Amino acid sequence: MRRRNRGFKLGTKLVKVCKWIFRSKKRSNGYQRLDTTTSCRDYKTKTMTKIYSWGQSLKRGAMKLSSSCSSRSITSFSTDYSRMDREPFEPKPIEVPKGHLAVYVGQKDDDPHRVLVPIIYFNHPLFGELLKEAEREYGYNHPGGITIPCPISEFEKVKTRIAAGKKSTSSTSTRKHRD
Amino acid sequence: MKEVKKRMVMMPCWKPSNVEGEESFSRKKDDNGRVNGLLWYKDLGNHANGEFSMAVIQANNLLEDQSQVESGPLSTMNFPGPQGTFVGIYDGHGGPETARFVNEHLFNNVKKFASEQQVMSADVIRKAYSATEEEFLSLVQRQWLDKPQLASVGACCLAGIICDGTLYIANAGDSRAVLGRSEKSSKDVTAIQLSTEHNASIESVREELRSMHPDDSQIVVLKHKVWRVKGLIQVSRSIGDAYLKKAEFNKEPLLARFRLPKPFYKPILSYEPSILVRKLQPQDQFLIFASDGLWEHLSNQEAVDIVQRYPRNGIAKRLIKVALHEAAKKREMRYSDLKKIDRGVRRHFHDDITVIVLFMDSLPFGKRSFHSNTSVRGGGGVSTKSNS
Repeated sequence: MRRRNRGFKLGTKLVKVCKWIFRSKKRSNGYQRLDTTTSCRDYKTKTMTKIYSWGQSLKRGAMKLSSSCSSRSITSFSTDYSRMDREPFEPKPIEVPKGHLAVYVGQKDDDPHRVLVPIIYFNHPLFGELLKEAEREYGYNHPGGITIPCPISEFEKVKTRIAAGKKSTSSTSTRKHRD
Repeated sequence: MKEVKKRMVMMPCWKPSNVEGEESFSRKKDDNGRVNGLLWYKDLGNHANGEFSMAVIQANNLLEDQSQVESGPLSTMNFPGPQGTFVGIYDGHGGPETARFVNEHLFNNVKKFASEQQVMSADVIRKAYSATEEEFLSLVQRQWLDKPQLASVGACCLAGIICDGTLYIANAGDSRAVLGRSEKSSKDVTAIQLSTEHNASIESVREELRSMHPDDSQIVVLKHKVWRVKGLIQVSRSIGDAYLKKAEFNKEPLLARFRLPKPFYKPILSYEPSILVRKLQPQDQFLIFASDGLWEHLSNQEAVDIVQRYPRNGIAKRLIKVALHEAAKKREMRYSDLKKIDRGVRRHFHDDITVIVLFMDSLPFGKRSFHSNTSVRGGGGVSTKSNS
C-alpha cells in the first residue's frame, strides 16, 4: 500500500516538474528569471534548477547569436524581413536595430511578415498611404506592432520606391542637414 | 534655422529648457508654459490650494487635447462667492473643434451657475455640462450646411474642482482622475481612482448601453479586439458627437461612414457626467488628471508612485516621458527613434496626452490659501513645424 502511494506521489511530482519545464519554455525572456526563483521555492529541487538554468544560459547564448546574425543581415539591407514565428508565445527578437522599427505586413487571415523598416520611412508620404490603410482597417489602438494590411509584394515595392527616391534626393537632403 | 528647428524636434522632450540660448525658442513665457517640439509643458505653477505641474504631448496632426487650470474666483462675483481651483481636460475626437469649444465655455458656465446658486455643487457642474452641450449642438446646427463634418466631432470632458475643502470630479468619457493618498501606517502612497469612465471596453458600460437600447443588437460591436458603440466610437459619453445624439445630424451631407443605416429616436451617446463629491482629508496628497493617452501606458499606481518618488518640478512632463517609453516598447522600437516621428504619423504610436498633477498643500482647514489667480491653457497651440 505504502509503496504504491509513494509511486503515485512521485508520479504527480514528475508531471508537475514536466509541466513546469514545458510552461517555462513558453514564457518570454523577461519573466523567466522571476519565475525561476518562485518555482525553486515551490519544488526545492536544486538539481532541476541547475539543469534548468544551464538550459537557460544555452538558450540565451543561442538567442544572442541569432539576433546578432539577423542585425548583421539588416545592416547589409538584403533580406530584412523574416517569416513571423509560428509559435505566438516565442519571445520576440528584442534587438531591433537603432533607427528601425518592426511592422507586420500581410492581408487578413494570413500569417503576417515581420519587417524591419527604417524610422525615416514613416515620415514619407508613400509610407503614409500604407499607414492610412492600416488605420482604416485596425484603427490606432491596435495592440502590438503596427500591422499593414497589404500583400508583402506591394509593401516591398513601396519600400524600393522610397529607397530609390532617397538616393536621388540624397544630395539635397545632406545639404539640408549641414545648414 | 532649419537645423535649429530640426534639433528642437529631435531633442529629448523632457530636457529642462533653462539651458542658455534655448529660451528664445519657447513661444511664450514660462507663465504660460513652454514649447519643445511636439511637447508643451509648465513645470510648476501655483493654484489656490498648492502647486501644479502640467504637460501635453501632441500626436495628432492637429492637437485634439485641450486643458486648463483656473484658480481664484469660481463664480462671476469676486467676493463673496466660491473660491478655489478648476482643472479641465478635454480630449477631442474626429477633430479639435469640440475640445476647443469646451475649453472656452465649460468653465464660464460653471461660474455662471455657481453665481446663481451662490455655492459650488454637483448640480452646478451638471448644469454647466448641459449648457455647454446645448451651446455646441446649436453651433453644429448653425453650421450644418457649411460644415456638416462638425456633427462628427466630439470631446471627452474631465473636470475637477476644489472648493471649500471639497473635491468635485466630473467625467464624461475616458479621461481619468487619480488621487494619491498617503497611508498612515507606512510611507506608501496609494492610488485611488476618482473618476468613472465611459468606454465600451468596460463590461458595465456595454451592459448599460444594451439595457438602454434593448432593440438594437448592434449597439456595441467588437472589431479587431476593440469594442465600439455602433461600431463607430469607443466612448459612450461625450460633449458633441451630434451625429449620435440627434437623428437630424445623421444624414446627408454628413460623410457616409458616419451615417447609421437605421434612424434612431433617442440619443445613443450621453453628455451627462458622472460626478463624485468628496471631502478632502489631510492624507490626500495630490491628484493626477490625464487623458486616456497616459492611462493606455501607465497604471494608476505606477503614475502615483512616479509622482511620489520624483521632484515636483516637471513631474507632469516626467509622466509623459515614461508613457512614451512604454509606447515605444509596445511598437518594438526605441524611444530615441519615436521622437523622430512627425505629428500625424505619431498617432500610430500614441495618442495626444495631457497630464495635470495638482498638489494639495494648503488644505483650507484654516481659511489660509494662496489666493493666487491663475489661468493656464495646456498646449498653447502647439504647432511647431515638424521636420518633414
